[in-house]
Amino acid sequence: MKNNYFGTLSDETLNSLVDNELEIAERSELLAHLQTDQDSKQRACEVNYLKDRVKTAYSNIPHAAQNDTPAKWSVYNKVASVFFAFVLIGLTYIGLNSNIQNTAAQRIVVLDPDGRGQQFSQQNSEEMRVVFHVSNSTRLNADELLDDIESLLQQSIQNHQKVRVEVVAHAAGLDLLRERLSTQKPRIAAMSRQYPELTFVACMNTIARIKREQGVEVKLISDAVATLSGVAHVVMRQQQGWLYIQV
Amino acid sequence: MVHVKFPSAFKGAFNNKLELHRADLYRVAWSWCHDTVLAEDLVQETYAKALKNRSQLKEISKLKPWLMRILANLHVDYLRSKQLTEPYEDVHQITENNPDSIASRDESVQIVRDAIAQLNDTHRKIITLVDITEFTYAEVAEILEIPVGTVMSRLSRARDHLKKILNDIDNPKEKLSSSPNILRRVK
Repeated sequence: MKNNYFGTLSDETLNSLVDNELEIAERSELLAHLQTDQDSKQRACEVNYLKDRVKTAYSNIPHAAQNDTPAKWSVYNKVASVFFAFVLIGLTYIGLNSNIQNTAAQRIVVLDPDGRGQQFSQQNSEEMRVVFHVSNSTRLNADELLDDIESLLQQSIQNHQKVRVEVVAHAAGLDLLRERLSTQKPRIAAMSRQYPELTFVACMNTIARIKREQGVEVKLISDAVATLSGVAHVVMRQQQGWLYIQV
Repeated sequence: MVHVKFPSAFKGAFNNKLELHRADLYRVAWSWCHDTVLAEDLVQETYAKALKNRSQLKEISKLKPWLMRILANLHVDYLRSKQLTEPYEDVHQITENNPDSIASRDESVQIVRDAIAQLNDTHRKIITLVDITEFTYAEVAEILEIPVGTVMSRLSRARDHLKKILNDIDNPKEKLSSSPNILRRVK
């Protein structure tokens, strides 16, 4: 890939990267450059960290109405909330059972691989957006994962349902997207060509850590794009309403 | 607090879409003033103005930046009306003593809010619009009525300033030791 970036990058350029202001090609090029420019990479990570801190600081803020509410009404409100929650759950249960065929395409059951439970996620927007979070290579059956993703994409296309899928790999899960270690290179390449709605995303923090701890220069498969922090990316997607599936 | 009663003629899709943005408007307003009552007032006034001037909105897809621009202008009006006679820190200090607000935040969150409060209004607005509501640079340019290039340079300076303030808060000893004017008691 041609590299248009030289020397120390400007703050404006790094801000644009962190704020997702760049086109995909430009972003990939810049991320590739950062692998060889440690100073700029460090600065980009600092900006990313600063942005996360600001966002977190204002995610839960006080409301004037809360301060004005008398205590006894708070108790009544809680009782009423519990009552309505039970009614809602009951209606939802009846609705799901009576219209299971109709609603199947609009919901996805998220199964936790550790068996800790399952949850229903309702899709509100027209586009179904799913992020698969791959963080463990020992438990990962890559074949099965790609089968599931392909089924999801095929079914969505058949149903004329708009869909976007991201596979975010970090920690040991990065093996899936490593040039030397991935057992799925041909299939990932084929799926990337066939489904433009599908993106494979690699975590740059993990790449940097592997280099620091093992002295190994990680090379990604050509179909992967990189993000500064895999975890931050997954969290951002969840905040944006994406369906989250841990692999 | 000003309570807006929506005229029946305006009820419908426009109002529904307005309500979708209330939480974000309040969050941004609060991040600018750190005062629950003032933030509520600003949001209510924003809605009143939006309803009054709804014909000025050309595309419904630009509703959120449009609302945010009204909010930003109202906040500037507020600051002007106070003629900066009441330093921001004073308002901030009053809200800090609210037990509800203290209970709802941890130390790290408080540090960032304190640092944001120390920024000037220009820097505070640009950082909060980009980081909290995740507006694009183009949208922020539209909201603040400045060129995109100015958004980028201001954001850069604002983040640099915020980083320095946070560094001073996170590492108070460094600041103390580097200050030549601090008197210390010697035993």
